[in-house]
Amino acid sequence: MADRRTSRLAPLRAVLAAALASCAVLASCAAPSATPTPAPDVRTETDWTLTLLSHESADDLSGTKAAVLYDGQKVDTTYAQKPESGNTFLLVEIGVVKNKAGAAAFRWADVRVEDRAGNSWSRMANDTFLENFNFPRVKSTDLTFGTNDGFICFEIPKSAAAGPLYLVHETAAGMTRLALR
Amino acid sequence: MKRRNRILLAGGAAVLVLALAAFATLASGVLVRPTAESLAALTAIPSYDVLDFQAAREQEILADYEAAPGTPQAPYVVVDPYGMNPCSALAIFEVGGSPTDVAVTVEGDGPATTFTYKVPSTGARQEVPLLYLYAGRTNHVLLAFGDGTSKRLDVATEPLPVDFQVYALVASEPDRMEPGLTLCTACFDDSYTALIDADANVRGYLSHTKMAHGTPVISLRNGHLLATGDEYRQIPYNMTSLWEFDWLGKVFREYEIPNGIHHSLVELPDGNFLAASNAKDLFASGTREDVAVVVDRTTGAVAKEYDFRKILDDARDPYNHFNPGILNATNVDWMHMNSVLYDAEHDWLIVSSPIQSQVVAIDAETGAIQWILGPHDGYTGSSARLAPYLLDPVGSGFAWSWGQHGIDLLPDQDGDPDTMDLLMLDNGQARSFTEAGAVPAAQNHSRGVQYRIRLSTHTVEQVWEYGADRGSECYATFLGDADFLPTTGNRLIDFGGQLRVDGKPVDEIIQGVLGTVETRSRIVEVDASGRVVFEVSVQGNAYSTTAETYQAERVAVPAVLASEAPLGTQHGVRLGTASTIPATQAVKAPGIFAGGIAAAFSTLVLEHGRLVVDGSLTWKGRTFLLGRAYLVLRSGKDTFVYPCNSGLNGRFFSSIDTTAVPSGEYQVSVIGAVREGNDAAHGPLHQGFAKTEYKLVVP
Repeated sequence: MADRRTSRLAPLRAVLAAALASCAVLASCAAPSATPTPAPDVRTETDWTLTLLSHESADDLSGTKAAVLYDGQKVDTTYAQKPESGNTFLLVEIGVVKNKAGAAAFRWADVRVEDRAGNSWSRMANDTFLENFNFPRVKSTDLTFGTNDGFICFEIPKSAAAGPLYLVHETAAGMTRLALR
Repeated sequence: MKRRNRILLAGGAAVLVLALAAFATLASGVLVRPTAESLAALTAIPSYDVLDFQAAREQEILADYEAAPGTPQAPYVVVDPYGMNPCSALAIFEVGGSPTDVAVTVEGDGPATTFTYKVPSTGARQEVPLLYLYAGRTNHVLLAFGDGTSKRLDVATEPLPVDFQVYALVASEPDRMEPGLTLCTACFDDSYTALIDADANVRGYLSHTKMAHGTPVISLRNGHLLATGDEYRQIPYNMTSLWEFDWLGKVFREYEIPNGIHHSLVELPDGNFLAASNAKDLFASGTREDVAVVVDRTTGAVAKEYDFRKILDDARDPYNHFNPGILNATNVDWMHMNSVLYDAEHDWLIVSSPIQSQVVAIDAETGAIQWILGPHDGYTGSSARLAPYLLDPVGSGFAWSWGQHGIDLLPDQDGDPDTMDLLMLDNGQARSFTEAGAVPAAQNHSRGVQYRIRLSTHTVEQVWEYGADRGSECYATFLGDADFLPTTGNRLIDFGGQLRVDGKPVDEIIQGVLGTVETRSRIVEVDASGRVVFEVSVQGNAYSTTAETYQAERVAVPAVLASEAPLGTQHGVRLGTASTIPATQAVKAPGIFAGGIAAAFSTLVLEHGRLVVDGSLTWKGRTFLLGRAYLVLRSGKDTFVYPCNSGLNGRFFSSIDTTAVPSGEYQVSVIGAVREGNDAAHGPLHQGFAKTEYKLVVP
C-alpha cells in the first residue's frame, strides 16, 4: 500500500520539486546588495592629479593556471611571488593624470611610501608580476602624458604595514601626502 | 481515502498549472530578458580599434609636446609611444630652418652590441625613433646632428615582465657572427617575440603577445615589418589579419584575411604577400592549414588560393606526434602547412608539410606538382599517384627529414643552373611513418640539413648538416627554423620546440601547447664547418613553462631607417574584409540561466560595429578540453544567437557584425557546453546558460 501511494505521488513530487527548484533559481538570480566603497582620495598638484583608489597588503601572491590534457586529465600549474622574509607587498591602486600639456614628467623616483617615523620605501624596481596576478599595473618609466591608472607595488616590513602609512609624491614644486587608511 | 484522493487530485492539478505556468514563463524568456534596470547595471562593451587607438595616442603626444616643444639639446622623449615595444622610444625636437638627418648611436655593452643608424630629416620638426634599447636600464643614446653638434640622452626603460622567457647565452663570437640582431618569434601567446643581441640581451620585444606569434615576423622592402595581428581565427596561432608595423609599434596597415594566416609569410616580388592559410570557411571545410593564399597588397583581398587537398592527398595519414588524439575532430590537420616559399627562378611555390614529411614544389600558375622531397614510405592507395614525383636520394650520408620546419631556399651554391639548395630544420619527429617504428624522443635528434636537388635527374643529395652529433640535447619535436646567412655563409639553426619533462626529451606536443609540459628552445649559429659562433638556450621560469622559439631570423640593423610621415598625419589603414559569423536560428536561447557554465573574456570589444570575442568556458569552475559556445544578445524584445568557433581548453572566438542588429541595448550571455574526455562527439556533456557582466549598445 505504502509503495503504491509512493509511486502514485512520485510524478507529482517531481513536478513540485521542479517548481521549487525554479523558485530557488529565481531566488539565486536576485541582484546582490552593493558594497559601498570609500571615496577615492584625490589631490591636485600643479602638473599632475593623484588619485588614491585603493590599497592592500599581501604576504605573498599566488596564482594557478589550469589546463586539461587530451586524455581529460586536469593539471594545475601554480606560480607565486614572495617578498623577503619579514616583508609584505603593499599594493597601491593609483590614478596619475596630467593636468596641463607640456608640464614636467611624473617620475617614480619622486614617489615613496613612508611611515610616521619617517622610514620610507620606493616603488619596487620590478613589479611587473602584478599583471600575472590580475592587478593592472602602471608602467614604471616616467609618465609623460595622459591618464595612468593601475597598481604599483612596494615591499615593506610587516611591522610597518601594521601602522599608519602615507603615499608621498615630492618634487621641487612641493609635496603631496596621501594617507593609506 | 476519497477525500484524500480529491486533495491529491486538486493538489496535482494546481502543481500542473504551476508547472505549465513555469514552462510558459521559461518559454517566454521573461526570466532571462533584461530590464532597463538590469541593463543599467551592466558594463557596456568598449570600442577598440588599434588604428584609432594609435591615432589618438599620437594626438595626445602632440598636444603634450606642442605645449613645450623640444630642442636638439633638450628633446621631448616618450618611451614606448604606442605601448607595443617597451625597448623603444621616440625623441622629438624642433630644428627650425635647419632640417637635418640624425645619426643615432645606441650604446651597448660592447662594440658588437652598439648599434648605429641614420634617421632621415622629417622637416622643421624632427622625430627620431630610438630603437634597440635594453630593458630595465637607463640607456645611453647619442644623437649626432648635421651641424656637428650632438646630444647624449639617458633613456630609462621598463624591466622585462617576470614571465619573459630566459635567454641564456652559451657561446658568442661576434667577429664570426652574421651582423645584426636575432629576431626570435614566439609560437604561443604566453611567450614574447623578441630581438636579442650577440650577448643574448633583449633589445626589443612585442609586449602585446596576441600579435606576431606562430608566424614569422618578416622585414618588408619598404622598411616595415609584417606579422599576424591580434585576433584569433583558431588557436593556437591561426589569426585573422596581418599588421604592417615598425619597431616603434606603429601599425600602418591591417590586412583582414578571412581564411586566417598561420606559420609562413613571404613578400612576393610584386609586393603581394604569400602566406600559409586555410580554406575560407575553415570550420565547414573539415580540414585546416592546407591552403596557401596570395594577398593583394593594395586591396587586402585574397587574390589566389592554392588548395593542397586537391594537389596532394588529404587521406594519407602517417603516424605523427602532432595528432592531438581528439576523436571525431571537426577539423583534421592532415598537412599542417608550415612553410610556403616562392621560387622566382622557376615560378614555383615550395611548400612544407611536416605531418606528411613532404617538401613539395608546385607550379605557381597551374598548381602542377614538380617534385616531392620526403621519405618514400607509404605511397600506396590514393597516394600512389604522388609516388612518381618523389625525389630519389643519391650520395653518401643521406638521411631524410621528418616533421621538418623553416624551409629556406638558398642562393646559388654551385653555379649549376640544374641544381637548387634547400636548408631546413629536420626536427626528426618519430623518424618513421608508423608508431612501431617511431624513434623515442630520448634517442632522437634534430638537425639543420641542406639538400641539393638536381632537377634533370630528379635526385636529391645531402650536402651539409649540423645537430645530429648533439643527440637529444638539441632534439625539438616541433617548431624551429634554419636560415642561410648571406654575409658570412653561416647557418642559423633554431631548435624551436624542445619538449622536456624533468629535463628529459618527450614528444607530447599538445601538453606543450597547453603548458603542462615544459617547452624550451635552442638557437645555434654555426659556420660552414660546423663551428658554433653563437648559441642561446631559451628557457622558461617560475611563471611560464613555455620558452619556444617558433622561428629565429638574423635581422640587420638598417643603415637608414625608413622615412615615415610625422606624428598625427598618417592614420593606419584597414584593407580587406573581416569575416563575420551570422546569427543562427538553429539554436534557441534557454529561458533560464542555469547549468554551472561560466564564461570569461580576454577580448570583448567593438571594432567599428564588429564585435570581437575571445572567451573561455568553465563548468563549475573547471576547464575542459572540448567545448562549444554560442553568444546571445538579448534586448527587451529581440534575441540573437551567434555561433562561436571552438578552441581547445574552453577557448571560443567569434566575430559578429552588429551593424545588422537593431538599435538598443543587449545583455550578453553565453550558451555553453563542455564535454568530458577527448571525443568531440561522445561522452558526458555539461551544458548551461550564463549571464555575463556585459551589454552591447547598438546606436
